Amino acid sequence: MSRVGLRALMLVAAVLALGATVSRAAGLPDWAGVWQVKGSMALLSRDNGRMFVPGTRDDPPFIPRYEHRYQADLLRAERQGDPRAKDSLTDTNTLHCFAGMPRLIATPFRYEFIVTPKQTWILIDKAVRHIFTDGRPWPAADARWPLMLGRSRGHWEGDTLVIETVDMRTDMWADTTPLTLSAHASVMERIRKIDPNTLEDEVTIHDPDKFTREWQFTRQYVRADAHEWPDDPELCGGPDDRNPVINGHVTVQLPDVH
Amino acid sequence: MLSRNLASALLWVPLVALAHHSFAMFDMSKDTTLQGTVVQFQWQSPHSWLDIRVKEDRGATHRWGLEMGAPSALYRRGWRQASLKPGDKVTAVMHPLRDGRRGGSLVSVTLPDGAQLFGSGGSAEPAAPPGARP
Repeated sequence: MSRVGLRALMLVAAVLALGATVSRAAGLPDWAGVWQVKGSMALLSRDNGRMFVPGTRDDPPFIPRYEHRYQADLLRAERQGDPRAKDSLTDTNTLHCFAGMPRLIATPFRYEFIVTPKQTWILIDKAVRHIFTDGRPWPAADARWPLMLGRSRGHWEGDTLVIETVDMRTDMWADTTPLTLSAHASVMERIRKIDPNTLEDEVTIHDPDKFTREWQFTRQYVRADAHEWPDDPELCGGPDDRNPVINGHVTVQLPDVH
Repeated sequence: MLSRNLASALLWVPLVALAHHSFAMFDMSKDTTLQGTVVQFQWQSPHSWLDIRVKEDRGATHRWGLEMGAPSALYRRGWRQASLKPGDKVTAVMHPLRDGRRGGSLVSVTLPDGAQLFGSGGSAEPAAPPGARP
């Protein structure tokens, strides 16, 4: 390992150790360790088995106009790997090599929480969510613009971290399907440890432009092996990438042409 | 109505949709078995690849590219960087590309010693068994 890499690793270890120490000293819960999502990465139904059955999927509670568009986009997304399809829709995570909020609530990556009195950091692959708990106000209107991770601030209610996230991008898929939110959407999360090996995130998404009601669901994070070394972050592009995005389509480079 | 292919892709391998790219280009409802010789085994993020040379029905030999998960996901399933080397004779099961080209998402491979390893298709978790709900 390079000297720079070793220093970076030592810095991360020091920050994580500091976070655990600070959180204990401040009476905050100890969420040290490595966590992994339990269950589906798709956010859009409590019962995923029914989500493609017409008339039985409850969430997200789109108004009819957006439900119609969502159904059409699902079909376009099905063709995203077909370079001959002219109207296909490619996953924004593929295009940007980055997931935004609220999609980051459920990913296959490791989750680590650094809890301190004034800020909590949630580390998810190459994304770092900054949850400010120092009581700061939102920025002025002219200092706000859409962000991949949105802007998050929070407060503690006992051992529960309550997070509000706003200013999320409207062009990013909100989960593993072509579900997008409006500029007025906000995400409320209530994260708490429900047993020594489980964190639970109660999520409520409010979108007055697209939803008929609030969309609520729960995701759990279970303790993973903290001794396992992290893999590379999700990488895209470069000479070894055999799934380059060409003209907006994710492609497959086969050995005969690779 | 949404086709069964996308439904199954999103239901049974939801993780892969986030891990770099969707696997919608593969027909996840279909398993195809190939017998061939390893040309190259690329152990790399975000997707590893196994390229094999297959002698097809009419005698012609073609290369096939089989996509797999990231090394960390494969390692948890027992894969190692040295699990395969050029020249190994293998039997591979894959979900084929829907466009008919010679490629797919690796389901499993039987090694020369008879051992079997399972591709994770980009998932960080073991794939859900057929009929299960994530």
